[in-house]
Amino acid sequence: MSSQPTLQLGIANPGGARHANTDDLVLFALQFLPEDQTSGIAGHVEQCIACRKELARTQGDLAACAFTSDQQSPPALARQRLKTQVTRENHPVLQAPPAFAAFGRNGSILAPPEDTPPRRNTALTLLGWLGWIVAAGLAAVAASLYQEEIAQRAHLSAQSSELARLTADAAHTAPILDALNDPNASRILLTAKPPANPQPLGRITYNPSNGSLIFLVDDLNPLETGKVYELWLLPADGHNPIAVAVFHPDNHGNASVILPTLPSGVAAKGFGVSIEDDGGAQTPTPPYVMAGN
Amino acid sequence: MDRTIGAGDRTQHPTADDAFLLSLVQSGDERAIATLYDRYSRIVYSVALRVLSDSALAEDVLQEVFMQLWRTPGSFTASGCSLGGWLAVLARNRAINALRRKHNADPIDAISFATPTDLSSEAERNRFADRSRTLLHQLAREQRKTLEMAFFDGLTHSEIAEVTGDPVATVITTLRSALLALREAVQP
Repeated sequence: MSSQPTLQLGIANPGGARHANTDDLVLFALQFLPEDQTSGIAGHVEQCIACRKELARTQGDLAACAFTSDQQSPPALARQRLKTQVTRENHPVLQAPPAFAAFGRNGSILAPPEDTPPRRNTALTLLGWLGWIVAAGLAAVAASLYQEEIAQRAHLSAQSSELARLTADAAHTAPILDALNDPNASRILLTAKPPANPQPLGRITYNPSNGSLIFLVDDLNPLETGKVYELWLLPADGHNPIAVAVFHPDNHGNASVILPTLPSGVAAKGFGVSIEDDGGAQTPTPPYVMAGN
Repeated sequence: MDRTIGAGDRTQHPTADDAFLLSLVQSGDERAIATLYDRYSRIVYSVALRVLSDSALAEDVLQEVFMQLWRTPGSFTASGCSLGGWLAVLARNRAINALRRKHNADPIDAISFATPTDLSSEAERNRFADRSRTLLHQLAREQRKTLEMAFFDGLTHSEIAEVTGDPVATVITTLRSALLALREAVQP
């Protein structure tokens, strides 16, 4: 056999498609094939489920081989090094676009590029001052937007931490992530009715086609003993509210309902939260303490 | 928002599974990448060190692998597959490429696919490593040597054939059968 085995995409399966030679897949996984054969197999594997599965199995075999290494901890400084680089490369969305490159991320005005000094006359001087005023205004807006983004990220972090806690013991996180990232899901905000202090805020992600629902709420008031909160789905067709789940807030007023069992295909015109006796109710007891649509 | 990955962050997502952590990495959560680092840096560094026999170069590979995960977490397909296995194989490929650069050979782009074992927990990683070592040592000596030359020393099938004097086809068959024997380790 030659030192560069040919890609044998000539093994026809019953459906007529041709599969990669198993030996070639092994050499491909080991990165031993020359570039032209590598790209040929990569292109084939991308299209062929059977070969993709076989390659994944081969990669699994290679992973087993990798794990035979004697385990050694990296130097402690390596972690710090990674931290530094990660932090340096973070906030990609905060990097100012070129059009606003004159403004620092904290809203400060950076040194303008050197240029030929303009000739001074009154109109230009006024324009110059006007420019600086506009620049200062933009800087203030940029600073404000930056602060707002920081606050949003802090809020996102809090939500992420809450999700992490909720899902730490879950056997399968993927369905939760799928539900949260479902492009076909509706996002509904639930607020207190009437407004309360503190102001509880609930977020529902709901896809009526499969009945997946995730509800996160914070700043809920504690309940007296024997009472629970209950979440209701209000069908768009005017039918009676559907009980989604009962829940208790924790000591911080946070609560969640993750993927309760719901019938699929029920369009919602809104959601409401009522206070019920322990165990929940068949119909909501008015008024809804939170609602949204 | 505190987005540092100092030592105190190690407790932030200690039991979260890989898919969830990857989703956080995708949203720029530095604590998530820190948790993944704490989980898999040993295997990544160990594989790179085994290939390169140079702690500084191995540390470079470690850095590259986790920065790749940080920059393009989507390059790993999370559905039912093992991030730990993927990282270990990626570390090997990166290290081999580093070796080839050293010898003025053309580096090959890392093309990685997922592997089918969940290695999120330390117990599972240890079990997987023990099982893999046992199976490796059950191989015939020639099989084991051939596999180690290919995987850890980065010798191609042709180079192994030159070293051992075996025909290239025999080397490939030996490699394939050795890998098949290891497959038992990835069965749940």
